[in-house]
Amino acid sequence: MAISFPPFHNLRSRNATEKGQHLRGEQSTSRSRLLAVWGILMVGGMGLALNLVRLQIIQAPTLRQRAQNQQVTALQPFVPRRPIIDRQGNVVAIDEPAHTLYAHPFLFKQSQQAIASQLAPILNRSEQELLQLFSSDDSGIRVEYALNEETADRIANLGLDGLELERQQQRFYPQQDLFATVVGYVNTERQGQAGLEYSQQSILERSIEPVQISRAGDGAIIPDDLPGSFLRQDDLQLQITLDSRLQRASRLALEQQMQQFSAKRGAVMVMDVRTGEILSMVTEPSYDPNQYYRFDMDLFRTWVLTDSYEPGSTFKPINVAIALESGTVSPNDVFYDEGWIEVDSWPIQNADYNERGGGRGSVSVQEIVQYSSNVGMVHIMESLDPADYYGWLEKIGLGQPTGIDLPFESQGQIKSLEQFVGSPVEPATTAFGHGFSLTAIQLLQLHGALANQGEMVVPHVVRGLYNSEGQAYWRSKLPAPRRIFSPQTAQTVLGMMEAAVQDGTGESAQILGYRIAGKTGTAQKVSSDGGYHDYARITSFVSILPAESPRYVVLVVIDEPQGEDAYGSTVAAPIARGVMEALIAIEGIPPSQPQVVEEPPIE
Amino acid sequence: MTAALRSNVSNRRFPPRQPGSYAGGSKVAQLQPSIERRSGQSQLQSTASQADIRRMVQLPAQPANPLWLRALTFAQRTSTVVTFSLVASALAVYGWTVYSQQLWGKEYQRLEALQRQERQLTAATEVLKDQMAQEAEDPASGLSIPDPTNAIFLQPAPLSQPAPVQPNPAPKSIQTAPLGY
Repeated sequence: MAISFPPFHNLRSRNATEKGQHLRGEQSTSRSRLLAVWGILMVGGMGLALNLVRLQIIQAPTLRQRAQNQQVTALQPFVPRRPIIDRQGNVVAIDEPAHTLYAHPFLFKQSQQAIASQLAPILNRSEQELLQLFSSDDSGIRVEYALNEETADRIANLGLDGLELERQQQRFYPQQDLFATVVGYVNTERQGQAGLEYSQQSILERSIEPVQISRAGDGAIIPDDLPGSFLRQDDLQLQITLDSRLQRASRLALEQQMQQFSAKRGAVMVMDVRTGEILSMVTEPSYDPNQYYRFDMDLFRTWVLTDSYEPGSTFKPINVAIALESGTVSPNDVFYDEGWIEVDSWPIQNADYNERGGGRGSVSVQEIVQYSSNVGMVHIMESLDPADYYGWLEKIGLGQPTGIDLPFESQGQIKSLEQFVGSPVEPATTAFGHGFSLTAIQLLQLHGALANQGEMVVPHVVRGLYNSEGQAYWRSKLPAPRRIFSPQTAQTVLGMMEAAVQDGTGESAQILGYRIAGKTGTAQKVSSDGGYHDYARITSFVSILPAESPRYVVLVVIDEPQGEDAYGSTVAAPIARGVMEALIAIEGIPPSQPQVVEEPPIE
Repeated sequence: MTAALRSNVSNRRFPPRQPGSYAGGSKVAQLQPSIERRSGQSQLQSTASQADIRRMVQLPAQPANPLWLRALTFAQRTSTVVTFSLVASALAVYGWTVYSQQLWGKEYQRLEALQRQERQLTAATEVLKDQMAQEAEDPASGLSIPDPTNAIFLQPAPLSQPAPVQPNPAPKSIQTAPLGY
């Protein structure tokens, strides 16, 4: 208001005029100042606007790219392989992060001596050793691998330049060699190489893609555009049917006996005959899957599945069941056991022929099984037409894999139909378990069918995927049981096997108060030239308990036990006994014939 | 400037004393002629106003503002409130986005730490169990594998028959005499 007020125009004095001129000058100065300020502000504003255009429009793509390069990292979140748990929920295999420590001496900001002295106590290594390592190369020296998380953290907290920690995963097997046969191991490339780790690879692996994440300046993750799956990790665990307590008891019994007979290798398997669940599968010698690289490759093979052998006498009950089922023989039939016969110019004799100085004479079918008479078995199976017999062998699955969910299962071998029918010696040798081969797991399966009232189930070790609350997410699908014998036949043969334990070759497997059916087997091993070894033999024992309502079948196989008295009855049966005792205690199987315990007198 | 203090009502009744003078919405009636005189305006106007002053001027009733004006005023007020609340909530939301990310980061670190602890605990427990089991296998430990000879099997007790239910005896009549008179 002061500027536009007009009173000065009326004043006429010189002084006033001067003053007015002066004021006019002042006015124009302030105006020009104003203009200058306005101009500067405008130019500044324009400049800012232009810069904004430059940053937001012209340079935007390159700048965005640069920011992304700084902020975004491809994060491979720690995606552990699913753990494996046993029947009781004990963890058998679990993933742990591990770190590999690399040193790049050309990036060291401190002297090698200083770095070595800081690292030495953490790594439990001498400074000299580390110094020698550092001087070996300029970069990329692998100082240590498989460091645990604590150690890795301690090294990271030192904040030393020139050290690099690379994170990877490592499979940890807390029980070491106890489950190695079944579970197998995982190599450094995270690939299962044996056992379940191999066959269930697709189930054990969690598939999570690497995630693109943005990091703030302090390294914290910016959760804006994280995919929803980033945190949603399931807690599923693969449960197996094995019982670690039984597994331990089996291993202990097996180890002791193998040591005593200096056996080459041995195996124990226990199966629930109703479901086909394997409760225990131990092979010795075994390996520690945590340090698989220290062991012979040969041990990684689950030989009870991959190697077939001639079962010998343990196959006799199956043959008797075939003969009974086909109706050519009845349980009360009597055969004449000469002790030694010749079939097609091949001699066949009983194992105890020399010992007894002859045969057993007239024997019933039960006695043939009870005393494991080879000649008697030949006579029983002679009653069948060889072609029918062959048909039966095919029907019970010889020459076929069992379908167990462990990898690399092989099938046994049987002769061709022409060969089998063409020569009478073929059915005769097959009658006492020779001339064909099967895997130990298949023998277990066949005896399981006898115990399961003639129904054959598929042995398996995987129960399914369960979450941490024990709810089933996925269960392994099993084929329906297949009937191969009638319940009557199975029951009759079991009775014969029970007699073999009560008063026969399997006496050393008796357990007071329990009814146990069993059958020994001692088979000569086939040598590489097609004949049989004189001393190399495979002894085995198969037992079923409790005989009155069969539930479990136990198979023990010992390969090449040393010593004159190494038979199924002396080597394998005591192991089976030990395993069955543990099984009774673990599963709480009540005795069939309870023993009255006398009360101690009260003093 | 004092000339401005004039009612617009008086402006309507009398010719304007000062053309171009401010005749805004002042509601104060002009009661002091001395002030007017001092401003050096025409005598005629002054006389008229003095005559006017002698009469009691009654303040007229305020006419209602037109609807559009009220609507605009209302719109202005509400938009102010809305603007302020929007600004406040925008600030709050922005603050929350920053804070929640920090919070998320912290919680994520905690989750990772807990997961690590869980893994370590699981592994340590299993190792410990295995160690104990292995030590127990040593005959010198004095422990033995459970076997049927040292197990006790109890016969399950027969299902107890529930005792036959006695029918309730008919309630005896306690009242022998009527309570009332």
